[in-house]
Amino acid sequence: MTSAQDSVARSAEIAEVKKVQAAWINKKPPEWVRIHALPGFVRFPHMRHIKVLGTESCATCHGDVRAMPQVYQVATLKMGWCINCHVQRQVGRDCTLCHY
Amino acid sequence: MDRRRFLKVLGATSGGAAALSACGIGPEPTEHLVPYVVPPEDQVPGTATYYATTCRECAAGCGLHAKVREGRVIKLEGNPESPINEGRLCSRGQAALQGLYNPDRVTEPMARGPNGEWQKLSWDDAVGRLAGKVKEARGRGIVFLTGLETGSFGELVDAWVKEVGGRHVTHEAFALEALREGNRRAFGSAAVPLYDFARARYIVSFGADFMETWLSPVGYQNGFTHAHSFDGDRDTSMAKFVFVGPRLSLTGMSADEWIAAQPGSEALLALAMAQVILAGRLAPAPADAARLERLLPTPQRVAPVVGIAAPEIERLAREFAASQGGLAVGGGVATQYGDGADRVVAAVNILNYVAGQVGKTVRFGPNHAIADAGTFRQLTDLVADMAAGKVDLLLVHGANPGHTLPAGFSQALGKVGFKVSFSSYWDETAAASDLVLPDLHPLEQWGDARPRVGIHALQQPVMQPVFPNTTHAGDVLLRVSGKAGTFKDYLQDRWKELHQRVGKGRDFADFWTDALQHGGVYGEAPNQPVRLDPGIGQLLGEVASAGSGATGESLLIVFPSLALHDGRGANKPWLQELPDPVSKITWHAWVEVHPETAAKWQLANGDILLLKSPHGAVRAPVWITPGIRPDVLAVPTGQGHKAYGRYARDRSFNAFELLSDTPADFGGRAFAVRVSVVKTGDHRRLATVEGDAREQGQGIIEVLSLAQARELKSGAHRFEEREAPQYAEEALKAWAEAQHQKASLGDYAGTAPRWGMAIDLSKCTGCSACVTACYAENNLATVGEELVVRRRQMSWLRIERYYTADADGRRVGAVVNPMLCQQCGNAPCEPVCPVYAAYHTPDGLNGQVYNRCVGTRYCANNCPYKVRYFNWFNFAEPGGEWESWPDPLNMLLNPDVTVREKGVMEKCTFCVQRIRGAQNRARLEDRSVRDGDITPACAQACPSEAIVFGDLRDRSSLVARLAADPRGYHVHTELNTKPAITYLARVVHGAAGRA
Repeated sequence: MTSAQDSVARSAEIAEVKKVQAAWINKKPPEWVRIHALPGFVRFPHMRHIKVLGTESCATCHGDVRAMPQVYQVATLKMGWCINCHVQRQVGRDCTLCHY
Repeated sequence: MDRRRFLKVLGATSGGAAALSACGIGPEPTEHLVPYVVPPEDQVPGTATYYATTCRECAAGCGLHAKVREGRVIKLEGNPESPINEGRLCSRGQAALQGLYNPDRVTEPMARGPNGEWQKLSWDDAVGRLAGKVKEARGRGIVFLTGLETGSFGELVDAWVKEVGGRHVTHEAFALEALREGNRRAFGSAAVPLYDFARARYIVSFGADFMETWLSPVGYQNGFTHAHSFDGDRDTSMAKFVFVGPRLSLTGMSADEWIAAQPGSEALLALAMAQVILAGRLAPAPADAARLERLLPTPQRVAPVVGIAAPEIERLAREFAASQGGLAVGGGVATQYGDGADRVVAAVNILNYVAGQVGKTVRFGPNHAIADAGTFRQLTDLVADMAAGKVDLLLVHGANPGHTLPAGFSQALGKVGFKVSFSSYWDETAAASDLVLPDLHPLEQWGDARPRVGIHALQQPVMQPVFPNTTHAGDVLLRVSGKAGTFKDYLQDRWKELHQRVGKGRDFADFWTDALQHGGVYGEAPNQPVRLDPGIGQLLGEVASAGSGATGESLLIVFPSLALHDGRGANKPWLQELPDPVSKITWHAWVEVHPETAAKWQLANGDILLLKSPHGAVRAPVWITPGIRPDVLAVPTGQGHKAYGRYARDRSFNAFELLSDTPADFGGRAFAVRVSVVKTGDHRRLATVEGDAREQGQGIIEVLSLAQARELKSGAHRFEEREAPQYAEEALKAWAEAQHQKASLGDYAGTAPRWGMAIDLSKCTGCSACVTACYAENNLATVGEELVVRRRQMSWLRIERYYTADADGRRVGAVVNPMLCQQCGNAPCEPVCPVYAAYHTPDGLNGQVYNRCVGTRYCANNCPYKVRYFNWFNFAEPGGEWESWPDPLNMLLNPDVTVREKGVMEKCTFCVQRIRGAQNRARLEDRSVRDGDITPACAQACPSEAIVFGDLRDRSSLVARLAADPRGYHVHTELNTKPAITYLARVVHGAAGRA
């Protein structure tokens, strides 16, 4: 990155950090826009996935968030995509693990 | 276009576009994630926090664990540390949630305006107005009427009324005056002792409904189970239970023998039994009992009055004494017929005394607090004062005499200068008041209770008030009297005093924190010996000359409803929709009529009778049952409210209207009355959930006699799986082969648990606590009376009750079993689902995937147990016609369980949310799930510990051991469904009756 782009990125970053700071000072929580949302009939336990895949595993489903100026969805999050990974890793595919 | 999309589009064009996004197809509306700026302490979103508090739904004072999610309580469970209920909880306790989130709560102070209309006012105004009225009324009669208050709030009220020169009257509709007076006459002490059911070896109840409303139902049912259930391991001398009473109540249904004695003759029966024991020196009686012998009647003399043969009475007495652990109890509301009801209790006391059990199974010392409740006479004295204009200011808290004493109290109320109610609801008394200062709900407020000596139960708020403009009545009283501090301060001061007495060695902060964590301070009160009162001889003379008491054709008994109690439960839909454990009727009261009487009067179920007593008249639909004497009628309490919210108002009839307003000679109310009966010619369909009261030989409930049960050898199977017929042999072989193949594919190949249950019918009493717990845990919809009549109730778990009779058709009894989805290994519902919504999971559950279900209902059609329920209506639609959870009732919904929409089939899932939750937690801790990690809601609530859940494949688990028990059987084995639920046969003393 050139230094010009660096400073643009940095000032954008500072603006976002200032937003969070303002939220704390004004005691009004920031309203994060939700990017990754599953429908209401899916129960997704994050804890099991993090436990198995490890704490560096966010990128597996969310992409390289560290490199994203603004988070965007990289995976389809459709059921077929979830099942593929379960089949590859030979983990349970039972319906009532996530739908109950 | 594929089929699913086609169906979805169809739905969209007829139902609006909103349906599409909810299906996960198409663009979702933007969601925002809004975190806390400062997260509240100990609330983690997504996980539950549990607080210990005390239940205030009746005088028993059971300990609660309140499950709080995101700052609101969603489930109540028993506190395992409380010696009162040992971690179990009844339906009324579970339903306290529906009182908390009731849509008809009073949300702010209200005062009656000049034209009689209700107007809101601020708390400052309200307190000022009350203070002004107190000043005006000083010296002109100030009365504070409360329910039984055994803790700091009661002390505050006592101090407050003393300061203003008034008096404090307490009122409990079921104050058990006969029990207290009978104890006083027998032992000189009006205290109510602790009855140690767990230690008993032979139990006789003279109409005491100890599983329903008498004293401490959850705790006593638990103790009873320990004594009475059949446990193959220990010394199998299962305690025999005999129930004496004109009506087979829930408590009576667990009896080995039901003696339908002539109403009013119970005292004679008890005394005759005592006579046999004394005369035959059958037990080590205390020395002073000897002089009673010549005063006691013989079996021969009482037999014709009681209505059973003298040898039977002798047999009962011999059994009672020989057990060396007899326990006789009496003084229930339903046998408080009228004058002389205290004599029954005194007689029961004598029976216990001569059997040497006072001090053993009957323990004075850890006495119940109900003995401190005001008597009915005290209430009627107050009413007389009110009617005479002697009460200028009346304050009411925790009592609703507008319902329990409808005529007398309401009339007298008109003569009271100013009426103040602290009620949280618009009950009859509040609706007739001038100023309503809504109290917080017990789950929102600080408080304490002393349900029995030695137990100090603490009550803490488990969440912020649902309605911020309600205030603790204690705070209001402190403000009115100009005192500084809140009620919490007052409470802590009282506990500082307690700390001085029992908290030695620790500083108060630790003592207090401990009490909060454990739900209170639990101590043992030492036994106090008692002696026979000198006046006992006179009492025996009275019994002898009183004759048989109530006789005649038209005796009507008013018995306490298990769900609705004295009417307080009527505003909670869970309790209204809970089928009465005996009659299985919901949303309405009934009159019980014996089949012979019904035949004589040509009555059918649902015919409406006009019952007229000297004090009132009601219209009651008939329910024909063999569980009552032919010469007696019975009606339950609790319905017939004139106010009290949408679920209670203008529904059915109020049994209290039939009763006399005059106290009986023992100071209590007469709960029996003579009525004239007139057929009105009208009819009403009963909202019942049962089909047939007889099993018709289906073998759904198996019963063994004690002798048979004792002979069972471990490993044997008394109830052999029925042989398959010849023509099915080939098909079964092919089926077994196919199963074996399927069992080696994918997820089904590995080792997985097989979740199963064992339900011990020698423990289950039919109390239905499990039913309400299931409603609470699984977001079950209450459908209302009209839909119950149309058989659309949604309860996943039902208690089936079948009447039994012996070979001559006499000796009526009843057997019960909980019926729920059997999670069949070879489920008939699975192969018929066209979309695989019903399927078999690798861990043995019959899975129901709501989002796949398209509503063909073939699965429910095929289920032989009829445990699948279809959502014919949208019960969750806000403002919809069939709305089950009008705001704020929806706050009690469990976020871990899907709220089902119209068009979807549902059924028991073995609380799969709890199974998955435990599995997730175990995975985090790198271990496998242990036996006892998972408890479904029904098993957790059951006061009898009848339901056991676990992994059938884990040979060390309790459920696997019980499933292999020789008493075990499956329902409808002939259908080859291979259920995961094993029922353990009920065991009875004597011959096993059949339906």
